[in-house]
Amino acid sequence: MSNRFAALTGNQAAALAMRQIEPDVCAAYPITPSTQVMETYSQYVADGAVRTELVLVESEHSAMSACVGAACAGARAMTATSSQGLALMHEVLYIAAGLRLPIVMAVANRALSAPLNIHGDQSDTMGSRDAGWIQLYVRDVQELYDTLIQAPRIAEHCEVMLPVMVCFDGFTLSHAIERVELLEDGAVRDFVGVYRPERYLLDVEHPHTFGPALLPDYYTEAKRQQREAMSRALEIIPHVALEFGARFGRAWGMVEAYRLEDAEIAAVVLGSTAGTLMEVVDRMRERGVRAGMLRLRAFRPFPAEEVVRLLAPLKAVAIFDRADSPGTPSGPLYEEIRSVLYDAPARPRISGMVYGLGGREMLVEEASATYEALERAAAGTAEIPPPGYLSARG
Amino acid sequence: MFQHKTATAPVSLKKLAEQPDLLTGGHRLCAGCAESAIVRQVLMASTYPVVAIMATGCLEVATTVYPATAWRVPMLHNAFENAAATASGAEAAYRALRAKGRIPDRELRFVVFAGDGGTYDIGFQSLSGALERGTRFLYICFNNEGYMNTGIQRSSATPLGADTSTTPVGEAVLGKPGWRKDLTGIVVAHNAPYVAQTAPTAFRPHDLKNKVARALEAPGPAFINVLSACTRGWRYEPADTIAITQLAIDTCYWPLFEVIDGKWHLNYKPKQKRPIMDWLSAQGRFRHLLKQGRLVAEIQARIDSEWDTLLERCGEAPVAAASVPPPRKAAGASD
Amino acid sequence: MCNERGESEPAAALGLPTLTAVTAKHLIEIRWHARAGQGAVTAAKIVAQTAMREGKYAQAFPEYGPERSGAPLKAYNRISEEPIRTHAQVRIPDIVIVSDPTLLRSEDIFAGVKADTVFLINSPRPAYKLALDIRSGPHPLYAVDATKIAFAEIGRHFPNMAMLGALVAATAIVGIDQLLLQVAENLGDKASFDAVQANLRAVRRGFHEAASAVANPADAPASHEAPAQPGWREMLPGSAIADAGNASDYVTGGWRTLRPRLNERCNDCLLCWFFCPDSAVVLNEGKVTGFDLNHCKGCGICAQVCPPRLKAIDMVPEGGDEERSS
Repeated sequence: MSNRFAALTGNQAAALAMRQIEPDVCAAYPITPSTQVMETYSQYVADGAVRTELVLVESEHSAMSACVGAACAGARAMTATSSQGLALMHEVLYIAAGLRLPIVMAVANRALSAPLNIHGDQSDTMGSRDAGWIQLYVRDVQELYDTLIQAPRIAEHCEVMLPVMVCFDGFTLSHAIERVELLEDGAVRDFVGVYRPERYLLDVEHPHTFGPALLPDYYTEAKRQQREAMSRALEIIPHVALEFGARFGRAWGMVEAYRLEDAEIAAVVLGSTAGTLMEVVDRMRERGVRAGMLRLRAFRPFPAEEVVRLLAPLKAVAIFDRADSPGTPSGPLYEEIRSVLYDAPARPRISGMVYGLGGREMLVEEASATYEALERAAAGTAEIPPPGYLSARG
Repeated sequence: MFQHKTATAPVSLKKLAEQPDLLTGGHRLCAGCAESAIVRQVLMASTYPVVAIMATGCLEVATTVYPATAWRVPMLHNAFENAAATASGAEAAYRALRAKGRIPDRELRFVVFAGDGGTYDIGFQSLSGALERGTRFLYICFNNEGYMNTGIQRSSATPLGADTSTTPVGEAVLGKPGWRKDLTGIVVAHNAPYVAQTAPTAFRPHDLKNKVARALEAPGPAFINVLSACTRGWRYEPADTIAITQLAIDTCYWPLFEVIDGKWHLNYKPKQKRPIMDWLSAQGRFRHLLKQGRLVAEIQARIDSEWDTLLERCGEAPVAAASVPPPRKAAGASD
Repeated sequence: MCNERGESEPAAALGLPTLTAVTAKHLIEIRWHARAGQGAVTAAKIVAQTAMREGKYAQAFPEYGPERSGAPLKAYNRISEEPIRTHAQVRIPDIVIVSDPTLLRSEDIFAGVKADTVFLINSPRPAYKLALDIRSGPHPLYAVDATKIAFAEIGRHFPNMAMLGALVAATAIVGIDQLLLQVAENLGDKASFDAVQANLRAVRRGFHEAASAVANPADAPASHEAPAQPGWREMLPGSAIADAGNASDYVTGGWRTLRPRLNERCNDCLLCWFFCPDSAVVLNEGKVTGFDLNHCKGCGICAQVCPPRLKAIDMVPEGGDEERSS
């Protein structure tokens, strides 16, 4: 490998991207499996490799609170967390978004207690899906690195001004070493630029009040404005990705469609499981089955248009959720995809599978079985499987 | 170590009055609320531009009713329990941006305003963290001894026996059980370079602002616990806000002191300590205690013992208690 | 309604048409304009409880804001023979109650009213004069000096007990006997016997002293359209406020019942200025020149902190609403 390539874990890649972004302030609290992000970053600070003020707080609640203080003050602020840490931040996530502060956070996805489990699933970030943050889910370590570098540009875009979570599967990506093609420090610096907010707390010459109380006569308008910013992100995310692709040769869109052009059946997923499904799709294709895969890279904002365009023509679709939504038919991805397909002139048959909870990754054999069930449903030889768990002992 | 400026002549009120008010009228705090008077004095006392961070509470909701703000200094409100952590982030940003030349190279000061709920209780962890990290800020606690913003519930600053909406007086229970938390002492235990107790009082009008001025010179975290009378929660007439505070000082219920670099200084020693009954009987929240002689004696004993401890820490000689209570004109109890 | 000489008549003696006009309705909706801390929310609750006591269905709910004691607030009642399912603020009231006369200059009491909406206003002015002054046009209007009654009977500014009595006189929305029983029941647990009696006297006096009038129907109220508020496109991101200190445009002077008065003994020690919670002591070149009555809430701290040897400030009662509205 030349210097352009490195073997990095997801956490190391995240820390490296952060070093190249060189945020003004990092506030963090350790939690498995994202701990190494801030450990590695702390070493950069200790070595004088970055000029970042580290705020090593006493809880994730304070980590996000400090990020809010820093971002409002006019600094580029970043942090990392997982699971219980994200849950503890929950209150402040809404405030960061409501104050329109472009904080960037790397989230190594992990299951939520109880029962205690430190392994991967997406229950944590799914619980934050309506907090007003942009949520991007990555497939591999390379995409994590690239997406973190794009995140400040998306967050700080004047028409967006919203915080961004870059979500990567705990352990599966956070602790696994993969080959990553790196960018030059200078190239990253040029790409992300300097954060210069129009209004900021430290501007004592133009004192602003941030975080006032809004009564029923204004609160709705504030929320409507926030929704608009999220809608603008639908255009800005691909725009930033396009510029990244033009400069560095790797393009990432709102979704990743794999062999969907002529497909009849497909599975939909977020995160690293997409890679496994791509393998299965190839095997199905070898058998002559018109199989494909759709991965949503952006979950917030929800790429409804692409989802409808790509899935409506299909015959049968399985939606894999790595988080359950008890009391509803399946998981959140299932609910939302079915919802946006409602107005499509033709719709596929849809199944929903909750999988991968607490680190039980989807096996190739399980994915294959689901595709085979879709194949039968598409052919009309069997009913599509009802929503359920992909694998749970009875 | 920093310069202990107690010897400096106080800035006269006339001099302060030359500056524009940094908290305007038109806010919606109760008539007679001490909080806005305290904020005005704090902002006046600073010779540096101030950046304010606020916890949720009466002050926040009453001074920033969108689209109106009473603040003429930059102000950020985040949530209830995280004003200290928010200030840590803002102060870190200040150091980072100043070092990188992205903001003018000038001294700013960060001042947190939070109530006793946001400080003693739900915000305690955040405060403790910021103190330990050494965040350079001045943390002002408006101690009105209860959760007044949500309708006068008890906090850990609520004194023994006080009638609040969650420690109501009934047949079985006489108001709040248990003594108040000694938060000032707890902050001292964090080794913050400047810690003080004060209260807005007309007989020592410079106490609060002088402490603020000294606190803003501290090289690390500074904390001032300000007794902030609440006309609704304590149940007295709004006009008595400052006078009732004086009773707290004269009874040694709320002594004025400073702890600078760990060294204790008493700022005021009454010649004769007034009996605690004077403080209790001035407020509706204690009305049910007035006939509870044993309980009042218990409160008096505890106040006496805490006062003695304070005198000892400050290296002062004990003070005699008043044998005959002086006539009380300052404040009257009300419902 | 006034008599031939233009004088107001006690409502209860007249058998007014509005009585049936209001009570014949299937659903009656009331909007209270009051000040926090003067008992209006309690009064609205008592109206609802009394109606329920009579076998009706009722709601009472306040509109909460960040304001503290003395600030304007709204409260609502719905009363019906049928179960009430609506849970929303009252927009088109049948009855508007203004329980503090100083609210007439700050609150839009005509918002959403219909031609037959009944007004009940706490005012020292005779009803006919009040009707002319506020241009209540065709609206039946009742006036009662509830503030005077409150100070005389209860000794504090709790005008809403008298307003309750006046409400019954004006609209017969509930029976006066049931109302008195309800008041006694509500206060009985907390207040002394004397305090309960004082409140009951205030209710009775409100009932007997309410007077009615209808202004010239052609003299319709001026349009009271609220100024347009900015939409989401005009708000700064994150609801930041750029106009530092613009709260000074908000008038809190109307909260006042006492007004500070400065005399020549003032030696400009500035303690009043230093301790004023509302930045309302006006200075000119270091000398106290007066008070900013747009913001002074009348707390009286200035008079209290004024050195006793000077006593340069005393608190005097605000005049009637006429004086205050000037």
